[in-house]
Amino acid sequence: MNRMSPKTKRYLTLAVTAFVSVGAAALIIMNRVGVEAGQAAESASSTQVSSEEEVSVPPIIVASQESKSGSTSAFVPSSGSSKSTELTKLEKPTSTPPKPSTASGTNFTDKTKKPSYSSKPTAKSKTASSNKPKAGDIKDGKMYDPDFGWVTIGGTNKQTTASDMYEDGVKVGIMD
Amino acid sequence: MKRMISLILCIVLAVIIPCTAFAEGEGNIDGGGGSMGGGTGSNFWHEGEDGVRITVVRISDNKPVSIPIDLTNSSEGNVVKHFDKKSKLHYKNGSAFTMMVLGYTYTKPSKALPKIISSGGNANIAAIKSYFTDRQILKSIANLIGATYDTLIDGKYKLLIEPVAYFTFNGNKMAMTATEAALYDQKLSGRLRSKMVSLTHQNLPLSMFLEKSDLGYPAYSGSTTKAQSDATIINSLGLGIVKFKEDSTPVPPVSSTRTYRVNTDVITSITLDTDSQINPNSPARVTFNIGSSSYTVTNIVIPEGDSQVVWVKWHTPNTAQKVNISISASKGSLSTRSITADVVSLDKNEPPDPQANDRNDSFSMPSLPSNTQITNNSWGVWSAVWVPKWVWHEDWHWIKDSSSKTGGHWKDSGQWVDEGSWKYTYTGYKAYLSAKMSLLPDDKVWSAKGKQMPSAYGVKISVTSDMTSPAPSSQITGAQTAVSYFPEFQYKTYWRHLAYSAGGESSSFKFKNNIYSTYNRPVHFTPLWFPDGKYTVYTYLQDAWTPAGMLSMNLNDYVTIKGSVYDNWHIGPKLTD
Repeated sequence: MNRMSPKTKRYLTLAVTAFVSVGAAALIIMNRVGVEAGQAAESASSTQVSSEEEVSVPPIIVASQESKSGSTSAFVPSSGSSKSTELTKLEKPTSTPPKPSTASGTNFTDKTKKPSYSSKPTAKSKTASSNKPKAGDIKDGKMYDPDFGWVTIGGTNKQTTASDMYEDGVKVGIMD
Repeated sequence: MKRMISLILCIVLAVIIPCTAFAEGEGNIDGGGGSMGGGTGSNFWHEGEDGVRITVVRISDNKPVSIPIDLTNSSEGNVVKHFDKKSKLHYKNGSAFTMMVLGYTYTKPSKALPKIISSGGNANIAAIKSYFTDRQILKSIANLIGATYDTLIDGKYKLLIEPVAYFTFNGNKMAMTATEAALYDQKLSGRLRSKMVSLTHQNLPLSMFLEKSDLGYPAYSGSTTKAQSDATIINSLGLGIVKFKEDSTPVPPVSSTRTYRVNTDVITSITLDTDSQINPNSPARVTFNIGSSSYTVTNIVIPEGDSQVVWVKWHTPNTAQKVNISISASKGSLSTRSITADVVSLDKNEPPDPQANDRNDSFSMPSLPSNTQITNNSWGVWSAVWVPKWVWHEDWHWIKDSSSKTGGHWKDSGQWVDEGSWKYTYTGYKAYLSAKMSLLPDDKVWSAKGKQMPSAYGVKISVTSDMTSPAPSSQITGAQTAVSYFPEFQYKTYWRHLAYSAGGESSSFKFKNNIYSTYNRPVHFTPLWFPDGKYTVYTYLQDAWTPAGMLSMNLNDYVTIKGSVYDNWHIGPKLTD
């Protein structure tokens, strides 16, 4: 078999590429025409309403079917199933302070006199930061409350008198 | 200038803030109501230092429409701390609980108010009722709130009356309603209750409560002789209501039946009360038996005399049915031991196929419905930490030693004993539901202009909602149900259960695909006969759950109808060859 010349090879490659491109373009155009034709057909029949046509209604998605983590998903009751959850974490520290050191003294050797501490031993506790404002501190027109923080000072209190507020004996309201 | 103001304020506060330490319980109401709860020299109340807060409430939507006013017989110019002027309903509707220093305003009536706070609960209720239903008193109240007397009593409004106590706490004179006392106690994790229990948690809240449910608050039929929990006070104590016409719709009795939707995450909750503390040494346990399944909540701790809401977040069955839930607790007292869950399906009553010859000559535009709308609520969880108080228990022994000159020595074989106590902390949570609804002509309505369209075409809906809360997602759900109602059916009879999609606590809804739509569009068809003007769709959004109950919203939006589908079509002669 004779080998193809480079020129023939080039023409053949070009011809194949052109054929594939034209074919692809034709397929795309045919597809579009098909969609539009279908739409036109549906449009033309838009006055005909059929209750028999089959329509797929997307399923209703519920929160628990979403990709939620196991700890937050709802309990799904099913036969015999059971689940337990903790409302709070419970902790109780168990560390004990070191035994207080007792100063040695002569009274420790006097059998007739039971020793006692001059002051009660106390366990060291953590002290709060001294930088924190104290209840009642005033700064920039605000007063510090330990639970609400800096609270606006609203000016002086005001009393008014309702001189016409007295019972005339005619009952017009209902109070159950 | 700033320094001057600060100096003046300092002087005013120095004069006002009491420094005197009084004897424990001085001026207490004690005489049947119990002690002040271990009050100290800087925590006390004098009998007669009471009053009321009055707020006008609009009946149509249960909203407070006036700035509350405080009435009292006593001179309360030395009040240092208060919570501004908010009613029980303000807090229920989501108002923030904030403290104010000074700036307290109040009114002294010329004719003394009846005694509000009595040691025997609402012992003086007859005199209170007589006073606040009196014509001249109401005229004076109308004057104080800036309304006319005729408007006040025309039947569209009610008066919400709350008892107020003036007392000294931690050395500061304070003014607060029963609801504020409970909210303050939650904020302080029980420290108010521990000092002033008889006043703030018994005699103040029990001085007024409802005999019939009203304004969204239940009738109270519990004990009137013991201190109440914060939750009970917030939910049902410390309020009276004056109305000016009988309610048109009777309030349904409280039922142990709860209605849920099929295939939905819901939260069923109960309240566990206790007279004595439940601490981590022996925490309580509550079990919900749902059908043949069980869900147990453990590690429940509650301070003395308080309560804890306990809940199960569960998924309802796919089909409509009744589910029996029984509840048991290892200790404490349950608000209910049995609940019937009525699980219903809303996938019925879809509107019928619209026809070209449909007519409705007698149509009149209905008013929009208004279902229960609760857009926020709050709850909390008690926890306890051990606060150690190490005390050395000495135990001296004589140790004999023959080699010693003294014959021996003393040795302390004592030990440290932790005499600490549990400190309770209340972690409060709030949840807010927000939502938007949009109604527009469907994309296929080629003749639509913005929100305007001819009748007989379809409308599309978009509802988006968000549940905002710092609570863990195990304690809340986003809104899961939206149902739309239409004016051509008088917002009754037929409805559309919207398709739902969710992402976290956000959710969105639209119509399901309409089986009568040629294009299978998610639409609702407006009736051909619908008159020109607004076509408003009403949607009820619900199933956003929290341990404190369900949040829900009324939503609506409209399109404007102009002409009909016939105006878009033309039959004319056609040229022939």
